[in-house]
Amino acid sequence: MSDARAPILRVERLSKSFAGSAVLHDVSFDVHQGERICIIGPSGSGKSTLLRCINQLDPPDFGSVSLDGVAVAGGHGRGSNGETIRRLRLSIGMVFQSFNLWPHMTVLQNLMEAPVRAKGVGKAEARQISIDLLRRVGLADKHGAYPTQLSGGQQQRVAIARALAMNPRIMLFDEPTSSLDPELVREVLDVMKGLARDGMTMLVVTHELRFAADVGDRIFFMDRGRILEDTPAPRFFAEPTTGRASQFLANLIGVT
Amino acid sequence: MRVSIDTDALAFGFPILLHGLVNTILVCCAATFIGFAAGIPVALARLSRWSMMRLPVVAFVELMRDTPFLVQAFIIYFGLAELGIRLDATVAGVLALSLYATANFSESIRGAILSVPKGQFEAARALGIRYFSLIGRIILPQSLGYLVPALTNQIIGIIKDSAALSVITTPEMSMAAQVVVGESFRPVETYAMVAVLYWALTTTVVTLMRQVERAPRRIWRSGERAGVDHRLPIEVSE
Repeated sequence: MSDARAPILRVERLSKSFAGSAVLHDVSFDVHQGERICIIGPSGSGKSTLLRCINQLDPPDFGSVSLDGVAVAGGHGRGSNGETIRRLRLSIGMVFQSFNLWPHMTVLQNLMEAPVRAKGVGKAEARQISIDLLRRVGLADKHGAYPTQLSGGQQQRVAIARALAMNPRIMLFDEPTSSLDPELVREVLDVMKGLARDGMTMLVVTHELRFAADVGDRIFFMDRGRILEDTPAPRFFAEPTTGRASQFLANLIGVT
Repeated sequence: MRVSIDTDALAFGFPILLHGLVNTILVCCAATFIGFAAGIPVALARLSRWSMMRLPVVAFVELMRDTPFLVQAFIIYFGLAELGIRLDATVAGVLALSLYATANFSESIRGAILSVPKGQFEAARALGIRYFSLIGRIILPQSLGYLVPALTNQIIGIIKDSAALSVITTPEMSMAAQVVVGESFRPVETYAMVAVLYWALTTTVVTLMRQVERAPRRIWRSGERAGVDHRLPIEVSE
């Protein structure tokens, strides 16, 4: 708060292995208020694991994650500092590739659940926040629907609203459009662009290069568990510094 | 050769058996509710990643599932008596049957929890929802669809196994049958009636459970589930 240049999120020396193979290798970076970071790279490069280590869904083996100066250190195994991790998560919104809405609850109940149960917000207030957010993602009329009655794009917009209902400091998007039919991708990206315009700090793992170029301030290019490039978006797409990144871009552009 | 049916024996035995049936229903209801209530924490403990939680529960569940109920009933009734705890035969019967139900229900509950997609847990955790809210409000309601058919079978098993409680003189229907036969010397008529009464009871339970099964099958069960990571291995405890 006191120092305007203090990062919201500081990731230091994060490492993670699954069954002996290193997925994240000594990753460090800072994220400042309002920054939009797009993380790209080949599959298996550790992009999703990076997001999942930040909010401790996958507990890191080593390194630390600090949000507004409050650190959670890795390497203690699961559950050793459960309440600290829970508090961290209250301020970090996460959007999944597979939406993960709760199918037995209506859209409105999906949005109200965490503010009421995890944050202690009053029901009336949570309902008002939820309705406002549904309006913001263009789904106010769907508040009484069940998730399975919605299209994939609508479900993902609800999932974004559900994360926003916690009023997070930062939003993590884990390939939010990868499981959508092509014609539904745009409505989700539009909601995300709106968030970016409103100044939300965002980390987005994506294969949508146009979105990354339009919205991203910084591009992380990841390969084999490392951030090979951390470059301002215009420069990254004009002239990536590493050969691996140029090759990746060339392949993708060759496909499309 | 003529088979004669002694209608007097039927008339004599029926009210006694009916009384036994009421007791069977009460004992089985008690065991079912206790078994379900206790089965949930047992299932959660078995899903824990802390071996201190998991191992005692694994031992209990396997012991109860891999030994005959008849033997368990004997051990509980006479074993507790040896320790100076003299239980009424009904109380001992409910206790034995409840322990047995707990072990069996807990395995069905565990399976039902594991059948909920991993992403459902992760979404709740990522939002900071605490463990008991996660289980009680997000996971168990979704697992009911898987759970109810399994529980139906197990409740029927409990009703049938409750007949073994006659060996420790719990006054349920099979015990009543022994009393009737002792008076009337007509085992065939008596046990035929007992069979019909057990059948009526289990059929009623199946019919009731079908209604319960339909209840959670609301709109969200009819559509396709969102999510691609169905049935990945999960750790439930946080």
